[in-house]
Amino acid sequence: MNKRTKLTIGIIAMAAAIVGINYTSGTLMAKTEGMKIFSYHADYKVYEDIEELENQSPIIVNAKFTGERETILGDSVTDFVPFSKSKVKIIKVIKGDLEKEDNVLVFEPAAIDSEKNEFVTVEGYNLMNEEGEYTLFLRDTPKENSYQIVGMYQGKYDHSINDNVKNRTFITDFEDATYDDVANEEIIGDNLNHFQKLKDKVVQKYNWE
Amino acid sequence: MRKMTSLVAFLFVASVFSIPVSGFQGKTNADAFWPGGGFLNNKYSKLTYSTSNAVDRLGYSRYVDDAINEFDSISDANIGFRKLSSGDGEMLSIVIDEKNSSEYARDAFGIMIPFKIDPKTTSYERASNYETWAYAKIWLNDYMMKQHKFTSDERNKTTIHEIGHAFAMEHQYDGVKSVMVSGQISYPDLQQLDISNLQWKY
Ligand SMILES: [Zn+2]
Repeated sequence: MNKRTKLTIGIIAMAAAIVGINYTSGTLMAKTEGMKIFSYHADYKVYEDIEELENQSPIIVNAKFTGERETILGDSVTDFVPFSKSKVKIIKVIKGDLEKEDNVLVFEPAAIDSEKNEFVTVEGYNLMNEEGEYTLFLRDTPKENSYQIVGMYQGKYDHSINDNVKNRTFITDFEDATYDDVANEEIIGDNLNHFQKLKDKVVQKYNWE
Repeated sequence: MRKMTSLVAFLFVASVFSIPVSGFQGKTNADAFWPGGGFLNNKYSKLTYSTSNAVDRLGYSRYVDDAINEFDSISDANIGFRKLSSGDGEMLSIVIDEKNSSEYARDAFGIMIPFKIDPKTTSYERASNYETWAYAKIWLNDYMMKQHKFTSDERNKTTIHEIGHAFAMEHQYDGVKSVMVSGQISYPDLQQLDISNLQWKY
């Protein structure tokens, strides 16, 4: 094969790759007059597979969000990274030292700052809602009756959403979207593919009852 | 020919499954940075920073000093630092996440958040990673690093990673040799890719 043929094939291949990537990036939602989204990036453990996630999770439960949530914001925006304390009801204990019907607090790495009309999150994590049927991967904290979500978006899966996340929305934090556009999504932004890979396995393994 | 065919086949498969094709080499030059993000470029020649008391108290000063030194010693880059006391108008504050249980809310080792000045109130407001910043803050999460049993090299990497964000560097793909890959990784130093990217921009 001569150089020119190689180059042509190379260009076609690259074009296919680029089109493929852009295609799976999906659609952009129209802007609405809602909350501005700030999704920040953290240095965190990226779980390769569900086994690694399970090993790092002393507690695995099926749970429902009760609707009770306390938003923790600083006096000023630079004070600390806002978060939420959300009360969930345990439906089923898959692993660990909790009881069915227990109400526990889960620290969520996201918060609605209603005064500033801003949604602040880390790595695209979205807050639980009352319709959701969640499998949660948790770790105990030094605070009483309070648990943290293992790996942020990697530790919360909603069984009531059956759509592949890739068919839903893809919004990165620099696009002109507002929270209205993504309020019902499990996750926002860059980590969709990794999230879906883990979710496929979670849904297979942990039925919602 | 066979090699070429398999390359084409591979690229096709990669595109269908949306594997970041460029990921095997890592992002370079402009692709390695948040477009439009960061302080004004000339601010990096004398970036003022501070560390909180807890950084010293919990033994992170050596990681911060090491990390600052990594950036400071890059040749052919207009990068420099000046240390200030906390609250003396520094552009970058490095603190430990330990307020109001915020360290339990994120299973993350560190996070960098940028701010800009609200023209109405002249106080800080949240900025995105894709606009010019006036101030940035790094929260190191000692609680989570302990939970994950971090070694010194891993603490070094997280500290360098977060300061890398303060230089507007974005995450690199998994598997690339770079401090900007997310995770519990032993990189006590900036890697060659990081250095060449920083040299390109600064
Ligand atoms: Zn990061």
